This record gives sequence, structure tokens and C-alpha cells, in this order.
Amino acid sequence: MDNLKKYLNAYVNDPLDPYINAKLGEEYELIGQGAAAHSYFLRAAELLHDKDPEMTYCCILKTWKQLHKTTRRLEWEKGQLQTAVAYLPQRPEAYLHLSLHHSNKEEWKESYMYACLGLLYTDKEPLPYDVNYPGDYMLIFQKAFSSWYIGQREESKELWIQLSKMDNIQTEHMNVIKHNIKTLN
Amino acid sequence: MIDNLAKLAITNGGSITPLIIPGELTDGTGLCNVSLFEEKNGDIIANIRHVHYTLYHSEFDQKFNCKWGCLSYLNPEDDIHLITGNYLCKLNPDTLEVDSYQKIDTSKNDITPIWDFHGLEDVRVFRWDEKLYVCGVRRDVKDNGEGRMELCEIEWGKNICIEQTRDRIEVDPHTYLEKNWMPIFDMPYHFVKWANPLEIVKVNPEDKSTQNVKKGTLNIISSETVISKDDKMELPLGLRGSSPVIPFGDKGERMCITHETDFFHHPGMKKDAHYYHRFLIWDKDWNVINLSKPFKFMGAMIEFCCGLLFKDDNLIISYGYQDNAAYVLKLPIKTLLDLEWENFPNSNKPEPVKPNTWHDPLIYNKGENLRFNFKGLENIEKNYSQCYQDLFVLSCLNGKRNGTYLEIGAGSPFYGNNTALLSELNWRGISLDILEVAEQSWKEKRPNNKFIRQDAINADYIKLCQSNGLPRYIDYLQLDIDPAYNTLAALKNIPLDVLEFGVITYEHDFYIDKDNTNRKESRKILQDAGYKLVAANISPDTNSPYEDWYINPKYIKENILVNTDKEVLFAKDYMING
Repeated sequence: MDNLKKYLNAYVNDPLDPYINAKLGEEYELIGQGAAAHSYFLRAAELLHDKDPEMTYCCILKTWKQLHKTTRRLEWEKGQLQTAVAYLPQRPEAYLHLSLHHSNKEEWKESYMYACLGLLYTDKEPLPYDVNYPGDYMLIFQKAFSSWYIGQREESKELWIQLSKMDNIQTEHMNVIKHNIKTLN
Repeated sequence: MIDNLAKLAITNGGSITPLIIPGELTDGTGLCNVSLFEEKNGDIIANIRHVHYTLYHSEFDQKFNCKWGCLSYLNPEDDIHLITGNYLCKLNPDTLEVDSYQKIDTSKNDITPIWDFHGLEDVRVFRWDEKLYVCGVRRDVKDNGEGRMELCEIEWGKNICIEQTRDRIEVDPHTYLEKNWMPIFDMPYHFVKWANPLEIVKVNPEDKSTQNVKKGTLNIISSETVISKDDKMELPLGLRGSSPVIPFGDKGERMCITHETDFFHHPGMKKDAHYYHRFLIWDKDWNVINLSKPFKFMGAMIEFCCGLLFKDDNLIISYGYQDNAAYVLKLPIKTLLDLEWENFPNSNKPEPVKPNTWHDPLIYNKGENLRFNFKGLENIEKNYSQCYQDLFVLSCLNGKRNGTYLEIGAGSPFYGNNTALLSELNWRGISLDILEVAEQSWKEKRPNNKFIRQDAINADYIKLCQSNGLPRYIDYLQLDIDPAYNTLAALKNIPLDVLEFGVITYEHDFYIDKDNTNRKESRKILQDAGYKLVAANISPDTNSPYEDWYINPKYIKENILVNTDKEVLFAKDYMING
């Protein structure tokens, strides 16, 4: 609450400072107030669109993240991820979430496509705020996952093996990778 | 136009506080449109509206419209109804943060909703006739969305928060939608329905009927217009209801905050709007005396205020921000002087009224010519009362030491206090106040004086005096509770046939008591009991008669000047020999 109040007062002092809007949004997110966080991230994105593309893109994804947590707004989520892609197509994060969005709906072709697109834009500097992007490996993970369902089974196996040799993979994902290598063989 | 009232408030020493209900209960969806009410014991309660959506609202260049445009309610896509729930909360008196909250259980009166908006929207919370009510608009009982204000009594306790009754307020002639009626806090069952020109309606809770609708039966109460003015101000946008209407100022004025909505369409896109608010002040006869220019709270396009209190020289204002966040703003009253105000033909006061329900004490300066000299006056360095009450008591009793007092409505232990000086002269007594904050303050600052936290209206004064070693004759009785009708209730509770007093100061607040009940009744009671009114309509300035002072001729033999023929008796004129 102290940080929230701090950034709220900073916001009141200058409501047009996009970075303060974003910080306030982040504080609201940390205490589970997604709607409030959403408002301030969207303001930050609008205020920055012609000044700081990476931050703008990050803030658009932050608006998506709030509703993703709330659940039951899938069409809007997809649209907002597309907004992020349209604004900055050279970043991988929105592609990953679009891939996940489609794989959750068992739309494997679309999921595969977005994973492939994301993999064109890896090795970027991390975004200023967390947008549920564990790392570039997750795009390979999604490609491995979806390729299995579109008949590209050899490609899928190779990708799971590739993943199993990579560092810095979150435990929950590594467990899936190992499980898949074991069962798919 | 002021586009950031919050900044102005903070610059003037105010504060802003976010209001939070845990996200686990709300899925993190919007909290907004908070209303406020101050209980008699000083507790501040709030109703927070929870909307089951997140508002998507793209501002500024609107580069990032969502797939449904720049403004969209992000409902669950499998249930697009706009659902409202309400949480009653207690706010921390110091920080104004939410201390505790309970969702209002409406299941007793709910019928299956059949329109897009579900629930009671934009609630205002208040007490009338000791009953706790919420009042807002409901649109879900008819399939055309017809909306009516509903007045709902709430039972609220430690483990209970239930809507016990729900009465739909019908209007004649018929309209499609009634919303944002502003309850008048000090006029039970009255609302400002329209602010420009003014229309006040009175609802009749006793005039009950029922109406069958598709999914159930509605309880209906009637309403009637009781004040209707035709002096419409020429303004670019209509003034719509927002906050409640609260008493404000020295002479029976009332204040509210209105809102207005500037709708527009983006080329080929959806409807959008800017919301603005204004302060509106009426005199006691409901003539507009001040109207501020429009302002925004925090610079957002969509903001909406439902709450307004006046407390300790601050306006406490609550509002929603983009339907997604809720705030309380503490606005020092002096900030009003920094606002821009309209000049319109009927206004004879272009400057904003400065409320003055409390005046800084009129301090006696050593060496001044006090009208009534008494023994030991030369040793008194300073006094504390607001209008020399402490010196008046000592004058009547010729500077008595070791006297006794009963102080009802103790307030602050020193600032403006009537017994602090007496205590320094070895008086003893009992000081009663219901407020926790007063209790803490007395414990800290006058730990050797007896303070009892108690409701003075229900106290057993004989028992209190006996158990605290006070005799049946007490030198000084102070009666001063807010609001003044509670002072009268406390007076009626004192057994004047058993307990006797030498000097009495009685606060009737005539300057804001339109029908003169408190002054008239208190005078009859005290004079019938044998007390002599010696100073009537004491005022801290030249226009706020608020107190009467009495002596008991049986005990007071001093030659006290009688001055009872003035409508306003400026305390300084009475006590200081010019």
C-alpha cells in the first residue's frame, strides 16, 4: 500500500507522465487490482506511442495481462495481443501469447504459426515489466507442442530434444519436456 | 477549468487514498463510484460499487482502440450483463483506507433480472430516522430497462450485511429512467432530483403499493415534488446529480457536487464522453449562491463522484476513476477559494462561501478589560474556550477554586475546551464524549481528569455523579454535542429535579437550526427548572448565534449582566468591556 500511495501521489502530481502511470499500474497489479492496473497501463501506452516503442508495447501487453488473469475475455485478449503485434511486430512476446491462446483452443495451425513468427524475433532485451514471458525457449516449446498436432511429429520430437538440452528453463516446463520425450518416443 | 482537483487538494494539505477490496473477491474487476456517510460517533462508512467488468477506455490520441472501439465494457464474454454488487465498508478515520468490508446480501429481495444492467447502481449510503439506507437506480426488473431509484434499508452488523427492505420509488408522470437523485442528508426522505432548475422530491415510505412484473412483485413507494424552481442557469451542459446534498456553512447553506457529461462520437467509431463535476451551493431557501466552474478530479475522461462529507475543515470526496478504481480525496476547505466560480445574474456573492461551523477560539489576552472581574483573574495567563465560556463560569462564581463540573460533549481536551482552565484551578468533574478519538486525546493530554466515553443521550447521570464523587449540586454544566438535536436529547435525559447546577452553557446552534426547535425547547426546559437565561444567542462572530448561558439564581448571587434581547450576541461584546 505504501508504494501504491507513493505512485498515486506522483501520478496526481503529473498525470501525464507515462512512466509514473506505468509504475502505478504495476503497483495495482501487485495487489490484484487488475482493472485499476489496466487503466494506468493503457494511459501509459497512449502517452508513449510515439516516444518509447518498447515501453509502449510492454504496456499494451500489461493491459492484456490484467484481463488474462481475470479470465473469460478470450476474444478481447486475442485482439489486444494483435494490437501489440501490429504496433511492434519485431518483438516475440505477443506472438508467444497468441500461440498459447490458440493452443488452449486446440487451434493448432494458428498456434504453430505464431510460434514460428515469434521465433523470428528472439534475443531481444527484456521488457521493463513482467508480461508472462519466461524466455525465448517458450516459443520453441509452443512450436514443439503444436507441430505434433499438425502432423509434424519428427519436427516436434527434434524440438523437444533441443529443449531438453537448453539451460534456464523453468522446472514446470522442463518436466513437461522430459515427459514428452519419454512418451513420444 | 481545473483538470486535477486532487493535486490542488494535496497542495493545500489534503490527501488522496485508494479504496481497495481484495482482488480475490472481485477477480480484479472494477471498483468505483463510492459514496460516504459519517455516523454520529464519527465513523465514516462507504459504499463501494463493484462492477463485474473492466472498462477499456483509450484516451489521448486513442491509438490503441480495442476491437470494439475506444470505449468498451470488458464483461465476461459468456455473460455480457453489466453486473453491479455493493460493498459496505468502514474507513479508517485517519488514513481513510478501507478498514473492513462486507458485501451487501440482496438475496432476500432479488427477482430474476431481465435486462442488461443487473443490480443497484451508483448507490448513495446514509441514515434517515436512524435507519441505514442505500439508494441507487435499478434497471433489471423490466425487459425495457426502465429504471427507478430504489430505497433499501440495510441491516449491518459484525457478521451481517443484508438488504432487509427494497422500495422502488415511482414517479408521476411516468418516465423511462430516474437516476442520480441526490439524498439531502439533513432532510429525511428528500432528494434533489434536478439541480438546474432545482426540483426537490419527497418520497413517502408509508404510501406503499405493489406492482407485478414478469419475474416477481415489486414494492412501490410514491414520491412528490415539493420544491420546484424556474430560475434555470444558462450552462453549456445539464447539471446531473452526483454527491449527496450536505449542510454547509453558517446560515443554513447546503452543498453538493454535480456532474455533467459531454458526449461525442469519434468519426466512424463509438460514443465517447468527458465527465466534469462542479460544486454547487444553495442558500437556506434553495437559491443558488455559488456554482464552481467544471473540474476533473484526476484528469481522466471518465470520473464519477457519489460521496461528499464535511469533516474537520475538510471536504471528504469519493469518486470512481474510469470505472476501474476508487478514491477518497481529502480537500481542505480553503481549497474552495482557489477554484474558479461562475458569475451568473442571480448570484449576489461571486466569492465562494467559506463554511464556518467552527471558529477559532476568541482568546482572552491578559490585561484585557474583562467585563466581570473576579478573584484571581490577574493570575490567569490564558483561557481555552471558544467564546470565553470558562471565564464566564469563573465570573459567575467569583473565580472559584476547587469547583465541580459536568461536561457533556467534551471534544478536545484543550483546544476550545470549557473545562481545561477550570481543571488548572483544581476543579474536578466528569467529561463525556462518544468519540474514540476524543478518548485517546484526553488520555494523553488530560490524564488526571475523568473522561468517560459514553453516549450522553442514554447516560444515567445520577449514577455517574454518585460513582465519581460528584455532589447533587455541581457548579458548571456544559451541553455541547453535534448535531444540536443530540444536545437537546441529552438535556432531556438529565434529571434536573435531582441534579442542580450553578452555571449552564447550552449549545443550540440556532444559526443552522431552521425551525428553531433546539433553542425553543431547551429554553423552556431550563427556565421551567428555575434557571435564568443571562446571555442569549452567544456568537463567535456577528452572525452565528449558537449558545445560551444560564445561571441558577439560587446559588449565583454575582451581578451578572443580563443580555437576552439580541438575535446575535457577539461573545466579545458581551465578555470584553470594549
